[in-house]
Amino acid sequence: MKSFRSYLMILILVLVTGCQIRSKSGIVISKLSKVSKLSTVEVVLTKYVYDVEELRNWWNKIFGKDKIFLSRTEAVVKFGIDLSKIQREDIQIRGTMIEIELPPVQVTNFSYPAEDFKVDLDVTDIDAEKMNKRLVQSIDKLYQASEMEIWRRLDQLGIHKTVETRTEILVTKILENMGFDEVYISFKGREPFNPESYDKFMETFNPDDQ
Amino acid sequence: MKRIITGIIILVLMYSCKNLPEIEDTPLGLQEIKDIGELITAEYYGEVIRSLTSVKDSDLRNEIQEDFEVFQQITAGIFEDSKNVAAAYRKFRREDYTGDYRFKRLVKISDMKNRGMFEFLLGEHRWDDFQQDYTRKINDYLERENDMRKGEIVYLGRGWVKAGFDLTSINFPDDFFYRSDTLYIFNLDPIILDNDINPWLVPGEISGFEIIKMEKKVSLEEIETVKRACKRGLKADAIESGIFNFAISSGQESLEALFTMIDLPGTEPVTTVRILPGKYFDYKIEYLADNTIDSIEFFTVQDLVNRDLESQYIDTVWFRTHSQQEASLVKFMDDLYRESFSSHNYNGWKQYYKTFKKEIRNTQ
Repeated sequence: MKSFRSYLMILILVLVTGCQIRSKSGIVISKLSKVSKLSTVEVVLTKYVYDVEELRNWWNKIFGKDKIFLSRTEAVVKFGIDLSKIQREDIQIRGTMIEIELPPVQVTNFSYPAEDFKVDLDVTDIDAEKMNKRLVQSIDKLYQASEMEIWRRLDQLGIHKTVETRTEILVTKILENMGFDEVYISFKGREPFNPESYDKFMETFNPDDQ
Repeated sequence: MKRIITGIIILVLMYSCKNLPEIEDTPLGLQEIKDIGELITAEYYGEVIRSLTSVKDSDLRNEIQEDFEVFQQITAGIFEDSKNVAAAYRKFRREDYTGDYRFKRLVKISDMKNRGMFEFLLGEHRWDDFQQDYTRKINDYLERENDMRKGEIVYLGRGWVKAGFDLTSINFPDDFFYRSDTLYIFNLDPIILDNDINPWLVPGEISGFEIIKMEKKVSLEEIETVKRACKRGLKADAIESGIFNFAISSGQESLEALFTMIDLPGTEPVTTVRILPGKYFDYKIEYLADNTIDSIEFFTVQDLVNRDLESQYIDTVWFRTHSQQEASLVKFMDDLYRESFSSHNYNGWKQYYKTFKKEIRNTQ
């Protein structure tokens, strides 16, 4: 009986703490901060979110019935550079000639507005007029999964070069307008595209402290 | 027994660990690549809560206000062509405006008779008066409408608003002016560049949207409406916290930091940068703090428009040509109209904007 109780305790513990999303008490939110980022390229990406499992209720699961969800989603991603990362030693000036080594290109904004996505109601197995909480949460989760998927694939799009070229064109144009005749731009290597909010919040939010 | 319980634990563990569904592998399409030139200088991260009831109330109030204003114009138009009020009312009835559902709704809310409502609209009354006189009745009506719609959903949204400058709008070299060690950049308004609440605030860690209350059933459209309201609310919060002025000071600082490293050819080293927004910027910030154009603001806008559209007049402090001045004014009016989405605007503001746009189109 004792061991049964301890198993039960473990079970409850797992249910309560199990794999919950970590506490958010560590993050600081609602504040204005100074930044200095230059967005040079805007990319529109499309992705169909297609799933047959998430919307199933217990009944559908027991009988192995699929529930289709299909939605056309669109992400607008802006790329550019963080100007605050430019150091004095990255710039060489001789008369009207300037040579700058810019920081690696990065994502400067990521927009994935779920409220504008087009759910294909002809195919999707939901009654769009009457949705319960489980269904609404399931759809929110599908969009979260899709956002993760886009982040994972961003580097595979092969647009590092495009972003660099266009950033070079814009920065050159600005410097020429400021009076330089010769402008030479290069980049300090390449880094994978990461969510900037990750750096912002993970500084103040250390999962190990939880 | 032990094995069964162990099995249950493993199952629960597996199930509760499955935070995210595995969606089918669909391709990521690259639809468009566009060149832009945006300098982000201020970021606002925040949380906002919106309920379906509050959003529906405000939409419905907007709708009723619009009906009120439309019928005020109709009654005024009819009265102009008639001898007296009685004749005007007869014409109003003959043209079956009393059967219009919008008029019927105004009558229903106010509990006035058709004739009473007609005369009220003809009088000097404004929407504000109507709202004040019938506050309780309007609220009762909104409550009744809400009761008919049973579901409720309350979302907590976490996201960001980014402000800064559109560099492509700078007029090189006209908008640049050097004096000793200071660089002045004219006509550069800070704008909201991004306003987002995504499925994730931090991918894989912190959600963007979270349902904090839900009752009965809601429609997909209602969910989208609440999410949009969250985004609008976040933007309003950012503006209220002073994101525009913050963007200016931060922009000046970041450009100063760059100019300490870059000596521009033909000028003294720049140590100070001053960004000076265009003529209408201050009006815009002040008026849109509450997303409302009130009576005082409305009359100031009217004065501004009347003076600046005058073909002989050029405000030489800000503009070199009249077309520059006009383009800037049109942009200002567009921004005001787009952002004044509150239901407490001064009566006639929307109509005034539409007439203004028509006039501009006719002169072009």
